[in-house]
Amino acid sequence: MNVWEAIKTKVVFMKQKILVFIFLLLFLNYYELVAQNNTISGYVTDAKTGERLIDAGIYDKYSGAGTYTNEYGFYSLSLKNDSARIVVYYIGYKEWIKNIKTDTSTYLNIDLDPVLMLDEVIISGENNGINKNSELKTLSTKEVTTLPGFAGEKDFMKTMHLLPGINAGSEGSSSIFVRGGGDGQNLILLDGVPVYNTDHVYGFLSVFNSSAISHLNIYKGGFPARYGGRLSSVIDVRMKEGNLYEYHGNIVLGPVSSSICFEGPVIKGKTSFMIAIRRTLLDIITRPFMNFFSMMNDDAGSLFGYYFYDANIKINHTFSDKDRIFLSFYSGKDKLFSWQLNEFSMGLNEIDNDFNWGNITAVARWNHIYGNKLFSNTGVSYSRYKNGTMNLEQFSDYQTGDVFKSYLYEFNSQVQSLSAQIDWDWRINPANNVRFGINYQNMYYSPGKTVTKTLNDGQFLVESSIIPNKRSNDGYIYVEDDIIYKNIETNIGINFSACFVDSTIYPTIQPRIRAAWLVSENFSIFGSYTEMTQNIHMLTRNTMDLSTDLWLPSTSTIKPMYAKQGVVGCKYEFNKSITASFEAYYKNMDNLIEYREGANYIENQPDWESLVTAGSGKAYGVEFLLEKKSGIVSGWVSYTLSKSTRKFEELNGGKEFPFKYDRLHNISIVAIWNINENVNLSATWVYYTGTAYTLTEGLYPTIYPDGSNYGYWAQALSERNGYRMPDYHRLDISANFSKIKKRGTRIWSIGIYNLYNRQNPYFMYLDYNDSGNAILKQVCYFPIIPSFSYSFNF
Amino acid sequence: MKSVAIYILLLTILLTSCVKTAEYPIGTDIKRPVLYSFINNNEIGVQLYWSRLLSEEGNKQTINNATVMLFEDDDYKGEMAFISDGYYKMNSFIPGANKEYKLLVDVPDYGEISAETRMPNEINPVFNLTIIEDSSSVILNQVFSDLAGIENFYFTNVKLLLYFGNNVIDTTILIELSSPMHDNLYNEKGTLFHDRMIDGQNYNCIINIENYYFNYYDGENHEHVYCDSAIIIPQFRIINKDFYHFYIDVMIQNYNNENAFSEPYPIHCNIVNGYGIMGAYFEYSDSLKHIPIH
Repeated sequence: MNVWEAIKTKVVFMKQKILVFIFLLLFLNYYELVAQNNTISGYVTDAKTGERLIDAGIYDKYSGAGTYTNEYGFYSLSLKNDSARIVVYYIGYKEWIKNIKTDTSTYLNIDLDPVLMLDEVIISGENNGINKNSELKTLSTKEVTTLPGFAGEKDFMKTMHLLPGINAGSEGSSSIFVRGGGDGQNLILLDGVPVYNTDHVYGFLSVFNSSAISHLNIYKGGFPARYGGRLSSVIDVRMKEGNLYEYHGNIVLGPVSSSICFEGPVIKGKTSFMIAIRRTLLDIITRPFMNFFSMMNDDAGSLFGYYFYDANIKINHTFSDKDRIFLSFYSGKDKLFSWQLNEFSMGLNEIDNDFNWGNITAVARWNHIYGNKLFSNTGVSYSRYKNGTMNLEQFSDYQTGDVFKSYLYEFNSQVQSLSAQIDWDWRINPANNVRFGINYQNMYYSPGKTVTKTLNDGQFLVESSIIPNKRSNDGYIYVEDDIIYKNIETNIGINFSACFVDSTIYPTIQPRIRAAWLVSENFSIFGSYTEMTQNIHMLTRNTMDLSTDLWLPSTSTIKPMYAKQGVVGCKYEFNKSITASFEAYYKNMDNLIEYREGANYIENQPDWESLVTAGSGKAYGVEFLLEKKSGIVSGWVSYTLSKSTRKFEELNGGKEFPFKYDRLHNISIVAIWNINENVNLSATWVYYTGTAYTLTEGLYPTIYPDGSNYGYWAQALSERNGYRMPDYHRLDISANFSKIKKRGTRIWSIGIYNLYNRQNPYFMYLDYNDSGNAILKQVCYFPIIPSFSYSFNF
Repeated sequence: MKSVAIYILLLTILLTSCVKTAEYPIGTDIKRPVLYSFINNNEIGVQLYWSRLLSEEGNKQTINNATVMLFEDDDYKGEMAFISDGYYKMNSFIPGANKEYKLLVDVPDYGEISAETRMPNEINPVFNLTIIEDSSSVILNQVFSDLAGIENFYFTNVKLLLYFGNNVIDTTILIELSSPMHDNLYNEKGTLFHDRMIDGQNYNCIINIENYYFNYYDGENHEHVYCDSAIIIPQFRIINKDFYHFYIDVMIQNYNNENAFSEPYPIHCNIVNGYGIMGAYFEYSDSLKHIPIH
């Protein structure tokens, strides 16, 4: 089937549904489209910093019409009356109320004043009938930096593990598994650019520096049509934009990493910048000691260490009320290295090893407002993830320094994407907000290139092997409409995507439907149905969690993954601060890939497609969340009861088996106690069912048909992932003590990770006790760990 | 080498972290019966052992008191007689092509295990030798017709009887099949291959028997001593799927055993409530005389 026939087949199949969708849109909006409305539009910003506020609520008390700001802080509200009483609210800020004339369309930028104590915040003082996507959760920097972190490090990705429906991977890992999906099924965006690996320190920290991040939105379901490319979640991380009015900064000194962040105006009120740099200091601090020990041991020299760094840079410039540009850049790297120099009779022997990985992202965006209802965001971006290994051993002559023997091994793997997109946000009226756009992505995959160079006896030999590189062109167009009709809010959208790779095209049409019914002032019911496709695969090992995961493309034989998810739920607001929600979901996933049984890690395997096999998965569960958002004491309790399985014809004898991170129970309790303006305490307790794994249950002899001994005791393996590690639980506490100083505010944070020293397993292995009986042993990495950090905000 | 780096990393993490171990007894380890049965055109036999606990050392433990019943296409054919050392045999019974065979084994103090397999279809290979001039080497031709439309598996082995005067030396040939059998697997017991590349075709399975098989080097006299004559005994089998997959899996699991970075590899097993394999094959053999040229 050629390209055009493939497209035609799919489009014709959905043609009627597309026409119905368009007709529905026009029918519902016809009256509103032709009605004469005046519009107020503009940006909602932080009065002190000039930062645009996302998802701020704006409504008219007289008519009840309202809306929210978009990802760039833009709002547009069309009103029929000649006057309005406008209320603007946002958590952490004082309400803004003003009577205005709306007999003509008005451009109105609104500045909100932040508050210090959360109990001063009024959360939507009157219900305006708008119910935001209940499957969207936002985490702010304030929440993340208040809660305890591993070794004192505050991390967005780790905080997400505390939300219902989100499972953590191994101990210390920042991988996330959303509603039974894999770690590679999450669309993680940094200022709209995909990030392909979020690990520092092998997952103990993420690449997101909390000093540089404004907030994070996560969708676990009900994905709007504007998002595409992953199956299980959308994690939209936004960097701070930089203070437009004053220079401010922040220094953090911690046991694992330290950072400095500086922001301020380039041109006051128009141009701002933000720079945040973070690095480990342990390798620098320990280097003199290592040199000393090396001298004591008469080594010619040795060095061993690990470090990471990352840098976030952002510049934005406002040309006018209608035009603004943003430039964002991120670069980060992790490196594990060792170097040793030994003397021997003929000369010097040098051994040099390093293992490194890192990301680069860059994006340029232009926001433009057409009239007062149409907002556009145009952007080009680049993202690259690369990892590599280098091992060098060489022998050199002591006198001449000439190398007479050497062995060099290098392995590199990377994935790159170059993207362009245009998004439009059309605020037709308060009941109707249409978004549409187009996204194109050119992907480049270089899964693995190995080079060995050998010098011996004067002969130089170079060998290389490569897992073939691939390029693919992925794109999608979408349209979605937020419709509010009386007490019902819906988002109906469609995402049409296509992936061109290996002379093959994979077109898909993905419907996205979400609806919420505000049954009463306090109670709402919601549901959604979404279909998602993912053209990029992450291949992970079943046996161990290390940075050996590979990003691989769909090919003519490996199809894109596809998922369908249905969600139903309800939410009850006891008062403006306390809410309870319940959700049930069911998800089907197809064209998942896993290593075949017995496959070796695919380094040096050009034909990787023959080492993998495709199958399906399903996940279902219920999630409960009780949340208190403000007050002296705040926090939440979440509980998830879920099951996630996989079924591959070529694995486990074709029988269904548990997903490795299937966790029947997942409980998180988070409590924050704001004792006063300067002191807060927090605690988190987590509990979840242990990780699934495969075990050898016994051994049996093997013989030839003639009865002679084969000479091998075969391992009788359990069902795949048929065993469970012990359940995981731990308690973390922390306290933050802030004090206003002459030039800023200093904060001492102290904390204890794993307060009651629970020995949670990292991995299990077989061993024998003194009696000779086989026993299962576990390796636990993190006992009780106290920590402290110092930060200074100026 | 990336494996080396990963080992270094693991070691680093282990050395720099506070590693604690906690012991969990595995619990009630259960030994299970291990059944091997290879039905062929000459006999039906069953070998029974016990599996081994992970903590145990030592030799194979045979099961000598089981009751073994045989069924052919669901018809009960009788009980197998115990011979010795866990071996049971059905006397006076010749299996038939394409028939389904089932074993029901009652193991005292354990319970029942069972297995099913299907006898393959017959083929009738023709064996002959092609002499290579001015050389002791010889080519063994094993010509057969693969059955079209169904998946077939084969096994081939060649034994040599070398006559040096009154002495006879018994040896086997390590066979590596040339293209197009790309994914054959072999060891000193023989070579397995399937019909993916030759489905429905007449195929000549050629085995080169080099001249060094027919002589040995006499270090004292510094010369090669050739045998007076040799009997070449090809053993060619059409085997069933269970037989093939079991031995392929054993080879792969054995090979991967030392590699911590390979995925776990289960071995094909058609024994219900036990381990092992019940397979089937037809065997064809011949005896071809060859006099090597010195």
